[in-house]
Amino acid sequence: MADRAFWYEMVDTATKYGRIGRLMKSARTVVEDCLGIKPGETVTIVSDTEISPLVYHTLSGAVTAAGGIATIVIMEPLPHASAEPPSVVAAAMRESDAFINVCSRTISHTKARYVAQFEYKRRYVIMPATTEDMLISGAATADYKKLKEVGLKVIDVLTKGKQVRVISDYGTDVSFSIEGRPPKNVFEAREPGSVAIFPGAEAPLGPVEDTVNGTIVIDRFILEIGLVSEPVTWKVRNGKVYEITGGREAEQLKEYLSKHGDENSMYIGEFSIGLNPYARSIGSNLEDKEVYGSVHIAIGSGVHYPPYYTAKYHSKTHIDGLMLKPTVFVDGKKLVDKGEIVGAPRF
Amino acid sequence: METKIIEMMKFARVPFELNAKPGDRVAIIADTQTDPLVWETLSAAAHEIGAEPVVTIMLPRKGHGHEPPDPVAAAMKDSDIVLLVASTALAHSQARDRAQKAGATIIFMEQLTSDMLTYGANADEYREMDILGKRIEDIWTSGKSVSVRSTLGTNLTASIEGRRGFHICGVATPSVVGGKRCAFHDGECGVPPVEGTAEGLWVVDTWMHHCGAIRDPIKLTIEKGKVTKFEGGFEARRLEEYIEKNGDEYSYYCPSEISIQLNPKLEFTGIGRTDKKVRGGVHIAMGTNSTFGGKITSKLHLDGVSRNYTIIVDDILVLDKGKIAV
Repeated sequence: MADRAFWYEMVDTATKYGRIGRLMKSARTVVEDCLGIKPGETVTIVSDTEISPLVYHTLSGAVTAAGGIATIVIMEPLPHASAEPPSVVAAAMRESDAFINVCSRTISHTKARYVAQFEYKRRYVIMPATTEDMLISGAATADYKKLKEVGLKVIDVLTKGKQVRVISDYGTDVSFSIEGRPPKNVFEAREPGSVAIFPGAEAPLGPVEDTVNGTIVIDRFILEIGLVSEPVTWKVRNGKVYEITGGREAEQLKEYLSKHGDENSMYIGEFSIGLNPYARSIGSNLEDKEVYGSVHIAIGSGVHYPPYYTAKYHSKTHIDGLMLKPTVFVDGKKLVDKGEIVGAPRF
Repeated sequence: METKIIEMMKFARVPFELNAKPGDRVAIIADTQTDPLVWETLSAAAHEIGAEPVVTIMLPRKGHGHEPPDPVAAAMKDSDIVLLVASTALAHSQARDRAQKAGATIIFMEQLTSDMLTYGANADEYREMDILGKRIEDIWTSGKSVSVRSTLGTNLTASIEGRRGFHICGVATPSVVGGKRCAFHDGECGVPPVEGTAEGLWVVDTWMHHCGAIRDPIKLTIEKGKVTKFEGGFEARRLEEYIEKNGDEYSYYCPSEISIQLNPKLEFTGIGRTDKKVRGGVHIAMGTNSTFGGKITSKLHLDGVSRNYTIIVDDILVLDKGKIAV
């Protein structure tokens, strides 16, 4: 089944005794640096039966060590990414000061999350499909202060920018407006209603709907489908993908969308630049998107963020497609040159 | 990989067979002292019948009756069925009360171990217990007075006039506070006698809260519905001290509950969780009974389990030396 393709990368999660010591460092970063948990605050760790217990146990331990009140919630894996979680889980999320998403399939683009984060002003950390390995190696090992420096430069350019064009050696050539759509700052979630990604980082924004035109060639990875063996091409007109072509993965994506999608599944909802030189492209639903100098563009639910609480299109699905070494122009000026961020070299 | 799950699966299904239907939202409330195998197996059993299980794990509460964290309370309130498998009882918590009033069925399973899920009654046996329990409940409800005797010297009378009996036998039954509840393992039917009417001697010979399995029977003298004298060995002293330290004046009210135990598939093992349900046993309580139809609210509710009792309600022999006679 196409939508189970990504499980393979979670195979490493056979618990190794004593490994908790190495996981603890990342868990503390999430709890103390990203969330800034204070004594007495309640934190819900939302997980499912496909996640290694060591991941949520360690996070829960870090919360407890910081004086917080930890609750782990374990559900069955969702039928697809961003399907609504059970109402029991939604209730626990909105009744905590902060909640951490370590589900094998993300709950990021769900009503449960919007209600908890935006209406109840809860802090939220995105870390879906986290494996033990992802808390020890790769993106998690980056120096987060330096990462933030890179990120703020990119955010600055995108915030001031109006028009973006992305091209790549594989044939991508797509343009859109980002006017009035500054990227989200996802380095920490210390304010009520804010969001962070761990391991980070990226600079995600929702392009102005209906302004996206051109060709997007996904050369590396598609969420829920996995690494692509042959590039997948999305033809876009006025913000909507009208044609998907390519090899096996293109077929899998079409099958997936016909099964889980809805009338808004084909609209472009997100554009984001990866920032982390230590992130690996390993077919992970989280880490791949954070790879330094990569770009991912998503179809389906738009990026929701204050003050743009409601994106124009909401869908049951949100599927990211990753380009590893694209070139990005902002108002005609290069921001990313074949996977290297201009003015913010790898560290 | 634990292989015990193979034995557990059969019994973990029972509470769901009796109380759940496909699509039910099931919350399994555990803490970090709960054997993960317990919630894992129960969650699997819920999944198997088509319900939607969610497990919540919190840090252990300070003691029985302490409130869970807000996210857990919210999860309980938003469920159709709540399984309480934490290491402390949430039975007397606000969170349980709110969930039950919101319509959730509560299944009490606190301190359940993975071993306890490897034996017990099956669904059909529970349904039989439920019928028997209902029959005895009706005797309690229509009865006026109760007499309890045993060969070890128990000789106790109390009025039960106007009091409703109850039975909980694995199939959730309506509670006086609203909603439904049962336990697992389960099987008992009892009554909260009228406060202040009991006279006589109560001898506990098997198990007592905070004392564990009993070596020297505890002899408790009851006057005007209150325990006035503790006699016996180590356990009697332990009980007296415990109430002095942790109880209040209402803790001495006795009997606040008389329950006949019905589960044919359990044996006396010295573990309260199951000793309280073994068929033919009787547990009598001191302290709180307002949660099941009495008037006493105390900091404590202490059960004492005994064997080979004879119970007569008005002129009906209900229990004859530990054998159910109706």
